[in-house]
Amino acid sequence: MTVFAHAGHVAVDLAIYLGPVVVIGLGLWIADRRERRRDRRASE
Amino acid sequence: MRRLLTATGAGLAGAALAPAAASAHGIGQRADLPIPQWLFGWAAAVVLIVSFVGLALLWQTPRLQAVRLRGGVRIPAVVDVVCGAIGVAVFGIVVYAGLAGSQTATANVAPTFVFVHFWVGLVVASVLLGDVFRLFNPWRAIARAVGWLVGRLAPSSTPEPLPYPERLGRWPAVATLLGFGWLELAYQSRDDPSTLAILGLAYALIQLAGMSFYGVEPWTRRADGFGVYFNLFSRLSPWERRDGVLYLRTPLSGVTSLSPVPGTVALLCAIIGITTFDGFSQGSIWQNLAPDVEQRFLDIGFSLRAAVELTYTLGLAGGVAFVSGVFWLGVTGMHTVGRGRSTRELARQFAHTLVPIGFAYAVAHYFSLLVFQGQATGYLISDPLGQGSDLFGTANTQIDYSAISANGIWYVQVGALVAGHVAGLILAHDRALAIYDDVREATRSQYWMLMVMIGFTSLGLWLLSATNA
Repeated sequence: MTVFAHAGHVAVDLAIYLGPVVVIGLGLWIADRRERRRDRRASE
Repeated sequence: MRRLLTATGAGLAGAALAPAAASAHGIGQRADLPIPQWLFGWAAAVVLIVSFVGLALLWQTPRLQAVRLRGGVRIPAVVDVVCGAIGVAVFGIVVYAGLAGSQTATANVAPTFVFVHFWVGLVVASVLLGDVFRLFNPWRAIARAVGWLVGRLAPSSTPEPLPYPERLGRWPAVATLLGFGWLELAYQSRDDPSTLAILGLAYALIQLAGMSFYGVEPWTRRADGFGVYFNLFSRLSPWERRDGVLYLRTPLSGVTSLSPVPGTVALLCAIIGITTFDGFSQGSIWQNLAPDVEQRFLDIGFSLRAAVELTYTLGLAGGVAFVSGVFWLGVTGMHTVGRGRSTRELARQFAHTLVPIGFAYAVAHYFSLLVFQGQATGYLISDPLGQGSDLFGTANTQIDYSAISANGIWYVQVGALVAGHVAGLILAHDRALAIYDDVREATRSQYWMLMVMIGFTSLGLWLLSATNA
C-alpha cells in the first residue's frame, strides 16, 4: 500500500469512528447554546 | 510481553495468519459480524445517549454519594495471615523461577505471572471479589509480620511512623504505574524472566522501606502503586471489608468515596493512557510511524535498542497526554456551566468517573490475553522454571484456542466498553447532582462528560478494530 493510500485509509477509518463524537458534539453544542440564550432572556 | 503475546497468537493462527494479526492482543480474525465494526461505535454512542437521557429524566437526586452497607460477615484475622503467607510464597516462587529458571519467556512462569495473572487477572478478580491484592500483598504481609514481631520483642523501642506527606498524595503510585507501563511497552528486555525477578525484588524493597518510614497502611493506600491500582478497581465490586467485617454495598457506591488527593487524576489518566498506547502501538498508524521516529534517534547517534525504547517512551507519553487532554477538555467544558468552581476542583471531583473506564479499557484490551495465555497456567504450574519438571502432571497441557471465538471476544470487548462508559456516566451524573445547584444545571454540565464518554468509547473501539482487523 502506498503512503497516500494508507493515509487515506486511516483518514476514512478515523472519520467513521469519530463520527459519533462530531455529530453528537455538534448536537450538544447547539442544545447548550439554546439553553444559555433562554437563560439570558429569562434573566433580562 | 510482546514475545509472549506473539506466541499466544501464533499458536492459534498458525502459519495461515499474518504475523501482524497474530501479535495483537485480540487473536484470530473476526468473521460474519452482523454489522460492520464501525457501526458498533455508532450503536455504542446511541446507548450512551439513551442512558444520558434516562439519567436526566429518572435520576434526579444523588444516590451514590454515601456508601450503604448491608449484611456483614466477620472474617477471622487468621485469613489475613494465611493469605499474606500465600502471597509471600507466590512472590518467592516467581522471583526464584525468574532468577533460576529457563530464560525463555514462554517456558518460565515469571513473565506469564507478571503480565497475565498479576497485571490483568488481578484487575478482574478485584472487580469481582473486592480488594484481593490487599489480602495477598506480599510486601504488606512481610511489613505487618515484622511490625508484629518487633512489637512483641521490643514494644517500647518501636518508633511511631512519620506522617505521610499529604502533598505526595498518589504521585508515587503514578510513578510506579508509568514505570510498569514503560516496562511493558517500551523496555526491550520486558519479558526476560531474570529482569522481571530483579525488578520485583527491587520494588518490594522500596515498598518495605516506605512502609517502615510512613506506616504500612498509609503507604499501601497512597504510595504502593499496585496496591493503589487494584484498590481502585476493587471499588467497583459489590464487596467492602470494614474493620474485619465483609459487607455488601450498592454497586458503584464504592467509587464515589475515592478521596481526590493529589495525583488521583494523573493516576487514572496514566492507567487509561497506558492501555490506549498499548492498543495504538499495535495498529497500522504506529507501525508505520515508529520506524521513522526510530530513524531520527538513530541519526542522532543512539543505539538501535535505545532508539526503539525512546520511540515507544514518546508514544507512551503521548497516550497518557492524549487521555489527560480529553478529560481536561470535558472538565474545562463543565467549568463553563455554573460559576464558582475551578477546573482543578472539577477534575478532582469527577476523577472517579474514570475508574470504570479504566476497567473497561483493561477488559477490552486484555481479555483475549487472559483467556488464552491464562491457560498457560496449566503447564507452567507443573514446570514453573521451564526445566522439564512435571510437579502436578499437567506439564503437557496445551492452550485451547477454540475456548472462545474471535467474534465472542469482540462482543465481550464491545460490551465491556459500553458498560464501563455507562457506569462512568452514572457516576458523573450522580456527582453533578451532588455539587450543582439544580438538576437542570447538573444535566447541562454533563453534556461535556457525555462527550468525554462517547470520545473514549469511540477511541476504544477504533483501537480494537485497528488492532484486530
